[in-house]
Amino acid sequence: MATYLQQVLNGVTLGSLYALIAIGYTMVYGILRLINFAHGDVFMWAGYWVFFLVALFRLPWWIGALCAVVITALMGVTIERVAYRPLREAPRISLLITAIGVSFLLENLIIVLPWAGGRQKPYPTPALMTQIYTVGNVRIQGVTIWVPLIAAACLLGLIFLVYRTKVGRAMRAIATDIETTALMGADINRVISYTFLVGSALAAVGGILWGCRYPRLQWDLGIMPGWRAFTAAVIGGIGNIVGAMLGGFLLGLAEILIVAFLPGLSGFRDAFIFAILIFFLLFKPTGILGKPMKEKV
Amino acid sequence: MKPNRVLTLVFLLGLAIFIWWADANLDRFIWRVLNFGAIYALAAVGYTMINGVTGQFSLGPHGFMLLGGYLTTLLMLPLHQKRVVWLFTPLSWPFNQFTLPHSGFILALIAGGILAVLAAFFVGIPALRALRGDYLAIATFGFGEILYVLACNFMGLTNGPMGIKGIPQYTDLKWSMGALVILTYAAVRLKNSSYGRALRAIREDELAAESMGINVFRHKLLAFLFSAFCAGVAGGLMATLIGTITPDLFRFFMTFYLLMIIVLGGLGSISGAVVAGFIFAAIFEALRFVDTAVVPGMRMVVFAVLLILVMLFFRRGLFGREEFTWDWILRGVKRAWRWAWARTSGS
Amino acid sequence: MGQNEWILRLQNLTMKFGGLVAVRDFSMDIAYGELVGLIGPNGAGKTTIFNMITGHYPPTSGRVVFEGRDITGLPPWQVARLGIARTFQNIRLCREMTALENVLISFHPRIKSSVFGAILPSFRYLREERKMRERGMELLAAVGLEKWANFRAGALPYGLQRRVEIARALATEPKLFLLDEPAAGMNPAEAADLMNFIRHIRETFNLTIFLIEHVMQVVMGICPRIRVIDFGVSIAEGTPEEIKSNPKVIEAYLGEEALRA
Repeated sequence: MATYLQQVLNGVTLGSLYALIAIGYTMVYGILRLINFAHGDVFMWAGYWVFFLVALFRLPWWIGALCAVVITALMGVTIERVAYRPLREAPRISLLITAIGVSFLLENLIIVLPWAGGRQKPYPTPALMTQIYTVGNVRIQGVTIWVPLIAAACLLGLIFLVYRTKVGRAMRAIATDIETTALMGADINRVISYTFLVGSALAAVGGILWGCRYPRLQWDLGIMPGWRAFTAAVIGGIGNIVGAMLGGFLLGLAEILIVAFLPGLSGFRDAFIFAILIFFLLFKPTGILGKPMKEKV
Repeated sequence: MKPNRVLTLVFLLGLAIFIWWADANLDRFIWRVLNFGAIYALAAVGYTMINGVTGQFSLGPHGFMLLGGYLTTLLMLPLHQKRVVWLFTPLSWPFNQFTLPHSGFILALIAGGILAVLAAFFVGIPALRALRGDYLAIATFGFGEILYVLACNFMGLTNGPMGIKGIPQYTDLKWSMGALVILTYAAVRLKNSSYGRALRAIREDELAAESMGINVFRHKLLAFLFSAFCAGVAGGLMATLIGTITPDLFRFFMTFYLLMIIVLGGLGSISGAVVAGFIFAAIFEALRFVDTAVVPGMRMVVFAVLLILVMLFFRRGLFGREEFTWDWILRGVKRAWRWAWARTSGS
Repeated sequence: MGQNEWILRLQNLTMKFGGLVAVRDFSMDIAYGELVGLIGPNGAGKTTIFNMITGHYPPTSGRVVFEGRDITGLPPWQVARLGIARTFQNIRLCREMTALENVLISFHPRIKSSVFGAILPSFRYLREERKMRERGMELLAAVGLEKWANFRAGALPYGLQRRVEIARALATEPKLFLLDEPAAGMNPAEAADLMNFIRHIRETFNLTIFLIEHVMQVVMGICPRIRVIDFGVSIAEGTPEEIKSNPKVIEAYLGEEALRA
């Protein structure tokens, strides 16, 4: 029973991290119809920013983490500005190719940078996260409590932003019909910048918390979590924010439970993720909560 | 005979003589670059058929190369080497029973291509029917990653992440260039044939093509199978050039290289893919010292920046969608001649 | 009239998109050799009816019967091969390909040589290719475009693009030809020219033509029978004179004029 509870908590922790990353994929796809290949690498960079600021510049952890969120969010906006915006009118495939290029650039920049490099780096984890709490006979690590709480706070904030503010309304309008929204006088570029800002900020929070959970930094750290989060976004119905959260939690739980109870299959874990992704793309491309889209003849 | 055909024949003859000479005498470094160039070009020719000519974005060629590479390796690896390599898990039947002699190399390459085609068939039937655009890209990417995971885990066939060493280096310019010439010929013929017109029509307006009676799915599958065959053969050549094979050799970065090549050459241009394949291999090997002596990873940064710049400012690539023609060269030569003539006679 | 006089029978076609009913309970029979017009205000569901015939949208309910055969739900490429060709409201050419190549695309479904024959190339393929090119040039000549054969389709002026699209559709050797607002974007003189041209190809190629038009005057001159729909519902059918004086039609069009004013 205790291990079962433990595993469920682990699943929720992981799921909340996936949810945070998945938001960025789903929001960008909803608006630009672009699978932002670089999103997982933006997530990875957030961990490195904490490392740079806290381990190298000796900032206090909380300040370093906050700065990392801001810097990473600005990184996301810059990427859109420099690499994606000039291709707004180009065929969508050009956009995807550029996104792949940005992804490779972000990964290899880490390898090239003298402070990071190709080797693993230790992530500075604050004491709060490593502390062990004992409830009855269940021992719970700080991360398992704090990560879902912080993530939930961010997700609630996001829902408020999207459904209760002017910017959020503009985002939803653009996701429905970009041309009409432009005609109605909304500043498309500004709203898209906001989308990247918010998506990257959430990914940054995810990356920082990910580091607390798995305190090793490496250049390829963003790839698989990125793909799992993307799969979560597809499961939830790509373009749908609540769906991405739901998909994230489902996938996180499923992953932890499979690894915990069927350890023989854990080597095939990534294959399962992609099999689920392909399955959904083929048979339920609209996900659990998404709406169908049809090409106009 | 038309003059263009004569020029082509002369070129091929010259190439054949060069290869015959180069395999024995050429500087090993340049020889290696040319081999890699031909292999990248071969995979890129196939890749541009599906991505460029047909406009169906696949991100899975590394998976097909992996299949071709492993099958060719398993067919060609000497039996004594097979006994040495598989230490922990014994090699599966039937590969532990036999190995092809050197003369069977062509069979091994074709078998690698056919295995890739079978896999492409299996993936393409659901994926090309239901998906397009980004979703197709993701599904084919996922397929490649699944193959990677399987290659890491099916120890009995692949020896897992440790890979296979001691593959006889059968690939030389005869093989790599030969395969490239044959499959490039096939690609150019295909693109310019009635089937190729259907493929190009699908890229330009799938709906219109379908309304004219073209079975869009079957033609997409045709291009996909062709690309898989090229990738499978390229994978086999690469494994028998390098001499070792690991699952990591055919990860997503391989597709990234190929994507660079076809974008640089001009999406949809077969000659562009060939030229860019050699250019890529040359830069890649020339910059090797940067990675080993200066900063590891720098090469990839350069390539990533290059890819982004080409997409942002130079989307046509070298050739756009056009093909190399002798007329084009002749026109250039004539213009240069006239220009030089005017200069000399003027002054 | 007997069963075999109808080339196309549309029976109770209904198309719903989500909650929206684009076409409701639309029935119509077209006889061999007819030239029928379908008119209605913008957004009345005209193109949706075409899309249901050609298989681009499988109807929510109802049947499409072509030459006595139920073709409801067949994919567009099969419908095309049975002998229904169409043009699109917003011309859909392969813009990067030449005018001739655009026409040749339509011959491809009937090619006999295999891919391998095309790659080698086999003598049979070369013969087929030569024949296709000859036929393609003939067709372009028939629509007055032989001079433009090797021009990029996207670079041609609008009116000529329309003709390339018609030539491409004719190359599929259709029995029934669906034209979706062929005169869109043309001035009255050009539109009148085009209608004469349509009458001409109908006679030369022995076609049945079903024609959508938004502007009433354009079809009045050439279609002996006209059907009118509004908001997805059929509201009138008859000769041009009957249509012109039908109060329901006037209301549908006046309503639109009033909205525009």
